[in-house]
Amino acid sequence: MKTIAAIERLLMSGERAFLIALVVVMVALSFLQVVLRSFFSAGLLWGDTFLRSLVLWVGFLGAALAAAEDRQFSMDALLRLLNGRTRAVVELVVHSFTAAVCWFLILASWSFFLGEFESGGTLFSIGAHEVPAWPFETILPLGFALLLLHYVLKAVLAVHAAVTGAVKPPSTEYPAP
Amino acid sequence: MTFALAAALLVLAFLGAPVFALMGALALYLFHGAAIDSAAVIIELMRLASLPALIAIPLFTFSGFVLAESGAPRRMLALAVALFGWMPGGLAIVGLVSCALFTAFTGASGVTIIALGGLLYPMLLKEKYPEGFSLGLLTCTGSLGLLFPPSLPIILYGLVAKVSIDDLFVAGAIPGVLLILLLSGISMVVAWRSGLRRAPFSGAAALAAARAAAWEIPLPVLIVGGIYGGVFTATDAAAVMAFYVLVVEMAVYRDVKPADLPRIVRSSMILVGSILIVLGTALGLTNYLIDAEVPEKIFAALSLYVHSKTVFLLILNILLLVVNMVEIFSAIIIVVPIIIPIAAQYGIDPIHMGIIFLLNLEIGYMTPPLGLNLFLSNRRFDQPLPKLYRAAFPFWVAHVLMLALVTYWPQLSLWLLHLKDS
Repeated sequence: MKTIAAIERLLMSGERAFLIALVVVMVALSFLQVVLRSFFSAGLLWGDTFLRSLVLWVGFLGAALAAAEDRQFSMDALLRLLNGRTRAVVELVVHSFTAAVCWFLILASWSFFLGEFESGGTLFSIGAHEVPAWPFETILPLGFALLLLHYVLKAVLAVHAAVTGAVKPPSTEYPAP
Repeated sequence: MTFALAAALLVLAFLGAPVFALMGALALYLFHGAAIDSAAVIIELMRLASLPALIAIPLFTFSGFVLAESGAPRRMLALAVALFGWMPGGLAIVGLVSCALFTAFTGASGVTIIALGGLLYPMLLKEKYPEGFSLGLLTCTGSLGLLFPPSLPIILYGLVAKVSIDDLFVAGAIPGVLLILLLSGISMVVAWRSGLRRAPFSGAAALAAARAAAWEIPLPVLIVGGIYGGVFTATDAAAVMAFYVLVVEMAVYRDVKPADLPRIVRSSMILVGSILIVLGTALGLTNYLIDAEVPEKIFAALSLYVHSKTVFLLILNILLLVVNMVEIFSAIIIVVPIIIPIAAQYGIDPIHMGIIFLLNLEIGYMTPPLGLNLFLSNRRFDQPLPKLYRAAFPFWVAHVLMLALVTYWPQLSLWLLHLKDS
């Protein structure tokens, strides 16, 4: 079980580091765009399209961390009332269901991604250089894969908790520190 | 099969399954049933990347979390006390105004009660405001300010309803200000009845407080003024604010250390991610429902019983109060696309609808037994929930009165907008 927790931590620190880099780029570039537009009546032609793709990346990485920290939107009133093995079993059911949905969403994303890859669409051009759309769209299967991984890990931890009866009390922090 | 699936999803929802998974499962099932490739769900999700205003969500959320981490709440409160503290009910009004401002700027994520409530509660008690009044006031201020820029729920409503976010902000101004005036009036009466002493006004203290907050004072002027004045769009305002806040709090005040940044990015982007994933998976579902003309079918069934706009609005208000107790961001994403076409059939303007919707959200936050603010107060002030239900009740009534006014007097929301357009 320690290994599972370690994998989860490793995954989260990777997601966090990447997220920080993306947010810094997003803040700086979006401000630069406003400055260029307001004072120089110009602006990077590819800037806005790039930023919009960035939001998708930030969103998926944030969602992956939200999954890891049990902060996805849900009706958790009932779950908070449960304790011990009952709670672990309910968590196992919920996490397995979520993981299954993520699996089908990965399949859907993959089919979408292949279509995009083969059609070879252009997202934007920098000068004469055309930047294809597909590298930016890798976040779709990748993002759902990260979510799947988190929920599978959680399901495994829930099995362990159900067997041993060692169940963590629900977190009462809101919003998380 | 459909019935069994719906029942299973409902059970899973009550067991605490994430909203995005429920939406995704339903969308995948419905598209599969209509013999449409599952990639269609993802094509809908990809529409997120074509919404120009979407970036306002991460930028505003990030700046709000930076502000909440910094000394800005403390400085803002000191300034408000120095400016308004001398009025009858002054400290309560200070609380209302600063909480509204703070909620608008932090995206109404529940930080207000945690960050400002903790500072204000002992201050109110020290000035001998009744305990019940103080608790009720702070519980309702946790969502006050939802109608002002740059509040996150308003941006989300604009994106989902496909109406201009800037127009929504303009429309929310008068109802938002009236609500604060109404609550300020109540505070004055309470202060007068409890025979509270008034603090004298001190020019020196006001100047000192203004000097301490000198770098933060331009922010509301820049953002709120910029949007109302039509200088910026909400998206530009978000970009300016994120950059400005980061520079001011890290380099000028140095309240936020570089070492704090990972934590701030993490907690703000968790909120953003959990909103966007629900938005992304729900886009497929709501689009399917609209293609299947579900709103029209609901309207056809409803119009047999509900003939007048007035009765429809009443039913809508009650429905929204119940829905919003569950989770407000998901409520906006799922309910708005269905309700807008129905409301349009009854001749309700989508912008007016937005103000009704958001005021309902505000009330949902403080409605027993599940309103989020009540739980936050319960944790922050360590008071039992039934006591908070009682304390918040007079404020709840004031909100409902305001809601009735906003609902049945559309010009309250639309007048300023018409003025701006003409």
